[in-house]
Amino acid sequence: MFPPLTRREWLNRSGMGMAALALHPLMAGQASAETAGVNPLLPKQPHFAPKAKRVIHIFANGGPSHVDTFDPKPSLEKYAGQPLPGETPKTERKTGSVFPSPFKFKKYGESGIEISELFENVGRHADDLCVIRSMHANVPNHEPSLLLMNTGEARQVRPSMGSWLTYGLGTENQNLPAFIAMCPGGYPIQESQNWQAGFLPGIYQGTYIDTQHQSIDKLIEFIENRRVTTDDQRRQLDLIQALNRQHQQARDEDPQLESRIQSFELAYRMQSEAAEAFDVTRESQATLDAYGPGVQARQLLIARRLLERGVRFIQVWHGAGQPWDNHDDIEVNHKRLAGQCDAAIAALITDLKERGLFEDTLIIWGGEFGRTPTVELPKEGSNAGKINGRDHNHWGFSMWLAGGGVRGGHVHGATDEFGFKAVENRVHVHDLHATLLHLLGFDHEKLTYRYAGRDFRLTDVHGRLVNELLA
Amino acid sequence: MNTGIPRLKSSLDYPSAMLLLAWISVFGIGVARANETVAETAPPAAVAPGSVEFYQQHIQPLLAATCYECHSHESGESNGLLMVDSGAALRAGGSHGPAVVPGKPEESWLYRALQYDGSDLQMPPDSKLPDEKIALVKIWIEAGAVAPESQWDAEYAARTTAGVNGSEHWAYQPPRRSVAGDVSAGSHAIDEVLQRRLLENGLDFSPPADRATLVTRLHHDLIGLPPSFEQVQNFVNDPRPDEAVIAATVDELLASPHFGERWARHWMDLARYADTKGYVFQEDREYPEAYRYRDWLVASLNRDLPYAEFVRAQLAADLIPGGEADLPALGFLTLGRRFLNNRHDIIDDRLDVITRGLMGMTLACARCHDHKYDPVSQADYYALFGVFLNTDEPGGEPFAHRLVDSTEVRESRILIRGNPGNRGDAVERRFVTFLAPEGLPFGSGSGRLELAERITEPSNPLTARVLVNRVWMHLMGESLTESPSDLGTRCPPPRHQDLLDQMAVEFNEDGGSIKGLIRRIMTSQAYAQSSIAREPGETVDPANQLYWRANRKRRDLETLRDRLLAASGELDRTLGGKAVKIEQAPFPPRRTIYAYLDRQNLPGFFRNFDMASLDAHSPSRPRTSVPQQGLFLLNSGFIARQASVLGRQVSEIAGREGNAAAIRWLTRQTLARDPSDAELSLMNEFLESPVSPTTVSERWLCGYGPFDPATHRLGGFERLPNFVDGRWHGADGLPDGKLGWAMLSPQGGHAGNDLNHAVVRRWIAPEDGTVRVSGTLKHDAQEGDGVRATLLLDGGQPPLVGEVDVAAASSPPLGQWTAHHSETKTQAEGIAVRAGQTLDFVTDCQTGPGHDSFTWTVRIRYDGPPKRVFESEKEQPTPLPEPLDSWALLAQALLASNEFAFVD
Repeated sequence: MFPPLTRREWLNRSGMGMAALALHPLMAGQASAETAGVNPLLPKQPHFAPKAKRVIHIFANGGPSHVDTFDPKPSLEKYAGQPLPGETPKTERKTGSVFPSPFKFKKYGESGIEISELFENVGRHADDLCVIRSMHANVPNHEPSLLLMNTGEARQVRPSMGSWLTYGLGTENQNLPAFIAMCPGGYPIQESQNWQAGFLPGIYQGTYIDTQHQSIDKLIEFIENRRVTTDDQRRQLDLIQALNRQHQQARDEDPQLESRIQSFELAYRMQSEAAEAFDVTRESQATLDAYGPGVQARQLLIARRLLERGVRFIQVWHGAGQPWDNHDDIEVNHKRLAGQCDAAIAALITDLKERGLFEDTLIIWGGEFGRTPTVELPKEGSNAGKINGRDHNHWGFSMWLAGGGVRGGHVHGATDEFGFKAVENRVHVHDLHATLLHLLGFDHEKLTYRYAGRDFRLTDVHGRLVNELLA
Repeated sequence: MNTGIPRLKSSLDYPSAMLLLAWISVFGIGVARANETVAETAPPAAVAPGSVEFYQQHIQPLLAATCYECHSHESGESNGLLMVDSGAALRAGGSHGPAVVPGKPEESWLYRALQYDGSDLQMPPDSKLPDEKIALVKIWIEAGAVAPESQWDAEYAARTTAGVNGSEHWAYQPPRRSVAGDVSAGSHAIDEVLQRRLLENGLDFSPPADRATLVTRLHHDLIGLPPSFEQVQNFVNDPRPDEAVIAATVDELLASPHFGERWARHWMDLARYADTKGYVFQEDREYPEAYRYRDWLVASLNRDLPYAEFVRAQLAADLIPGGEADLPALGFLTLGRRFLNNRHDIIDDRLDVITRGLMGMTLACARCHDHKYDPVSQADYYALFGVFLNTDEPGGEPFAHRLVDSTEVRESRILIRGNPGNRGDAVERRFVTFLAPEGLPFGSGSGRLELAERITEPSNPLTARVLVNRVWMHLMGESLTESPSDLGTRCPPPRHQDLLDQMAVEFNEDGGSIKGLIRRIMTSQAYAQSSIAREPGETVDPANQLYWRANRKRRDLETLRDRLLAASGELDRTLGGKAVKIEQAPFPPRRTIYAYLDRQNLPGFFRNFDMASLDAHSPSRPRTSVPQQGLFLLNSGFIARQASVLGRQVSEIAGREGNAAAIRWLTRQTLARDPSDAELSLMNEFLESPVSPTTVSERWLCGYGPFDPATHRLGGFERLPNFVDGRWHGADGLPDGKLGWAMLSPQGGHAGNDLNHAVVRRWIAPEDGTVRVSGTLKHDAQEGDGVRATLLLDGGQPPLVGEVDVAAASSPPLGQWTAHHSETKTQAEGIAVRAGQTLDFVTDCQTGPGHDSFTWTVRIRYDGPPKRVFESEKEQPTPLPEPLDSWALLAQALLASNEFAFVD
C-alpha cells in the first residue's frame, strides 16, 4: 500500500505550496503545473544564485563570417589566392583558395580585442565582450545547425533553450509572454522549430512576433478588442467574475477554479501592458536616434523594453530565411547586414547599462556557424557564378557574450592560423548551453524533464561548463 | 570528521580525491561510512586481498570516487543498468553482463573497462585510471572479489547473470482478475475493488452527482458535446432510477456518430496526428490525405472494431487479406514529422509511437545503448528497426500515405551509439526478447503483420493494460499509473493494480470492445459520484487517489470550442471530410477535430489551450490556465461572432418578452439550465448600464468617388463595401454590378470603369506635422490607355477661410502621375497636414475602362521628430469589427465563465 498524500503534499502538488515549488522547482513544477491547472509560468528559483536573470540572444541567422568580424587572420592576406596549406576541411560546398577579409580589423578598448570595421560600434564595448573564437558545431548545414544551436539536438524534437529556461524559471511578468522570438518579415529556416517547446508543455514555446509590423494587434494575437471600450470590458469581466464566485462557492474553493479566475485578470492587464511594451514611439528622441533607423533597431529597442518588463528570454533574428548566408558578394552583403544592426546592438548595451539591467542580462550574439576562410567555388544555381563569397563552416566560428556573469574584455579560444578549425580551448554548442544554464543558476545536468522513459536535458549527455567565460 | 581526508589524498590521485570530496559534501549520508573506511584501517600491505578489509580499504573508495557518480544509489544513476555499490550489484552487473566474475578478472567487465582493452566499453570515460589502481582491482577479483554485505544486496538477488531480468516487474506479469464475475453479465468489479479500499481507509463513495451534472458529464465524456436544455430536462425528469437512466443514456451516446469523433481525438494525441510534414525544405509540405486516417479512426471507433483488429489495421492493413478499405489506418505510422526525410529518425518516431503508444514501452531509449532501466536491448531496437527498414511508402492510390513491404531484403545492423556511421552486428527482425524469449525471427516480409500480432495477442501483458488505463484516464480524470505511456520498471505498481488488471482481463475476455470497457466504467458507482469535495476525504486523501469523489474536469481545446459553437447554435455537426482552418475568419463552425493541423505553423490558439504535441506521441495533455486563454475568450473574432449571434437572438426575445425571459433563454442556451435569482439580478444590473460606443482610430481607408480632372477634385468618398482576401471591392465581387472593376489591394488595385468611380486610398493624419510621400506607380498592360494617379490633400477641397471659398477654381494637386505599360516614382514632400486631414491617393482610368490594373504602394513619413512612417502595403485596412451590444456582451460573459469551461 502507498500512504495517501498528506494535505500538505497535495497542496504542493497542486501548486498551492509555493515553498515547495521554490525548494524543488523542477520536480514540484512538473508534478503540479500540468496537473492542477495552475499557471506554470509563475517565477521559480533555479538551483543556485544566478548571475543573469534574463537573456537576449541576437541571432545572426545564416552564418556570419568570423574571419570578417571577430576573428582576425593576418595569414589570409599572406596566402591570398593560394591554396590552403594542408587539407581543406570538408564543408557543404567546394571552396578554393584562401580569401582574405576585405574588412579592416582594429584593437578596441583596454582589452585590445580585435574586431573588424563591420562592428565598429559594438567594438566600443569590447571591454564588456567575451568573444569566443573557438566555437564548433557538428555539420555544415543550416537546418541541423540551427536546431543544434537552439535545442541542443540537430534532428529530433527537443525543447529550445528558451523553453528550458522558462520551464525552469517561469517568468517575472505574467502580463507578457515569457519567451519571445522576434523575426521581421517571416520565419528563419526551420521556422518555429527554433523556439519549439518539444516535449515540454506547449506554454513554454516561444511566442513568435513579426516585427515588421508596428500595430499591436498584429504583434500579439487577441491583445486588442476593437468592439468594446475598456470600461465596458471591465464591467463585463466583473460580471464574469461575479458569476464565477457564485459558481466557486458551491464547489469548495477548488484551486483550478481560482486559478482560471486569476488568469482572466492577468489577461485583462496584459492588454494595456503589452500594448505599452511594444510601443517604441514612447521612447525619447535621443534613444530612438541612438538605436538608429530600420527594423533591426526597432526590434532591439522593443527587446530592451521587454527585458525591462521581465520577459525571460528574447531571441532577435535578423530576418526571414538566412540573411547572413553570403555564399557570394560577401563584402557587399556583410557590410549591409552589419550596417543594419551594429549601431543598434551597441546602443542596446549602452541602454541596458544606463538602466542598470546590463549586469543581470545575458547577451548572446552569433549565428548557427561561421564561414570558410577559403572562397566558395561557383556552382550552378547557388552563387550566380560569382567567386566572392564563403561557404558554411561548422569547424570553427565566433560568438560573443556580454552582461550578467560574463567575463568582459576577454577572448576565449582560437581557431587555426587561417580560421578554419577551432583548435585552442574549443567550445562546442553543448558547452555553450551548459555555461548559459550556469549563468542562469542551473546545473545543466540537473535541469531535467522526464519524458518517454528518461530524464532529458538541454545538453542531453553532453556539455561542459566553460569556467573561463565567467566573470 | 576531517581526519579521513588527508589519508584519502595520500591514497587517491588528486582528481579522484576531489570527486570523493564532492561526493561526501553532496551526500552527507555517506560521510560516516567513508570516513570510517579510510581512517580506521591499516596500511595496504597488512591486508589480505581476499578480505573484506581489502575491499573496504582499496576497492570501495576507488569505486566511490570513480564510478558512483553514474552507478550508485547515492547518485541515483545506474548507467548501463549497472550499480557498483554492493558486491551483489557488481556480480549481477548491467547490460553488458556481470561486472565482476570472482576469480576471473579477464571475464569481469569492471576490470576490462578499466583496462581500456579496446572493447567498446572504457571506464571511467574521461581517462584511464593509473595502472596501480587497476592492479588493485585485478588482485581483488582474483582473490574472490570479497565484499561485505550491503543493504542493496537483496535488490540484486533476483537478477540473473544474463543482465537484468525484468521478470519481477508488475507490468510484465499477465494481468489477473481479482474479482470473480462474468463480463457479459455486467461486472461490478470496479466498485467492488474501489469500495473495499475506501472502507479500509475509513472512507466511502460520495453520493451520486445530481442528474443535471450527470447528463452533462455523460455527454462530455462520450461525445464531447453538451446536452441541450431539453436533453437535460428529459434526463432529470426520467422516472427510472439513476442506474437505469445512466445505462440507457450511455448506450444511446455510444451509438451516436459523434462518439467516434470524441474518442478518435484522444487516439490522435497518441498518434501525433497532423496534416503536414513539419519542416521540409522545398517539397510540398502537406499530407493531402491525412484526414482519411482521422475519418477511419472515427468510423472504426463508431463500429467498435475489436481492439486487436483496430491496432493490426494501423500497423499492417496492407498485409491483411481484404484489408484494402482499411489502408487509411496506416496513417498511424506515416503521418509523423519527416525530419528532413532522415530515414533513421522517421523509423525511430514510428517505433516510438508503436511502443509507447500501444505497449507503454520506451523502446526509443534503446536506440543508442541498451535501455537504462528496462529489459530492452539495443538489439531489440534494431530488430524492430529492421521491420521498418523493410517497409516502403509507395504513395498514390488508393491511399496516399500507405505502406508496403519492400521487395528486396535490407539487413538491419546495430548502430553503435545510434550513429549510422558506426555499424555493429546484424540483427534479425523479431519481437522484443523479454516478451518473446524464444527469439524467433519474423518469417514473412518485413514482419510488420507479425509485429502487430505480437502486440495484440492476449498474452501480451502490456497492451490491454495500457489501453484500459488510457480509457480510465479520460473518463475518471486521472490515470491509474504514474505515466500512461511508460509501464516500464520505473513505473511503480499502481495503487489500484488489481483494478487495472481486472479491467484488462475483462477487456480481453470481451473481445477487446472499447465500447464495452467504457460502458463498464461509466455505469459504475465510482463514475457517477459527485465531484464536490467533503470530509473526511479532504483530510484523508486530498489528492483523491482512492476515488472517493469524481474529479472535476476542465474542458479541453476541442470540447470548449465545440461547446461555444453549440451554444451559439452555429455548430456544424457534419461528420468527416477535409480539414479546415478553423482559426481563420469567417471561422468555419465545424467540430474542432476537423481543424487543419500544421505542425510547423500551429496557430497560438491551439498551443494556448494545451493542444497535444504534433511532433511526438503524447500520453496526456497539460492543463494550464494561462492568460492567453482569457485573451481568446475576451477578444477573439471567433468569440465575438458567437456572442453577436447569441446577442441578436436574445435581444429579439427581450423585445418581445422582456429581460427576464431573455436572460432565461440565454442561460438555457449557454449553460443548459435556468438562472438563479442572484444571477438574474447580476445580469439585469449589467444590462442597466448602457454600452458606450467604441472609438476606433482609423488610419487608412479604401474607397471610391468621382474625380474631376479639370479641378483636381474628388467629388465625394464612399468606402468600398466588400473585403475578401485582403482586397476591397464591390459587394458582388469582381466585376460588381454597380462598382464594376473598382478594387484596392495592399499593393495597388484596379481603377473603376469611369471617372465617377476612381479608386481612392485615403490616409488620415494622426497628428499635425510635415510629411513626405514616396512610392512607385506601375501599370503593366500594353492595351488600353493606362491609369492616372493623383495625390490630394483633403480630396483637393480648397481650404476654407471663414465661410468663403478662397480658391473656388482649381487648385493644383500635390502630385499627379500617369503610367501605361510603365512605372514611375511618385514623390512629394513638404506637405503640411493637421491631425484628421486626409491624403487621398486617387487612381482613375483616364478615358476608358479596361486594362486598368495597377500597383501603387506608398509610404508617408513625418519629417519628425519622431519620423513616424506609414506604409500602405503593410497597413491595408481590414473591415471594422462589428461592435457588441449589451446583450452580446452578456452572452460572451456566460461563454467565458468557469461554469462553461468545467465539467463537474
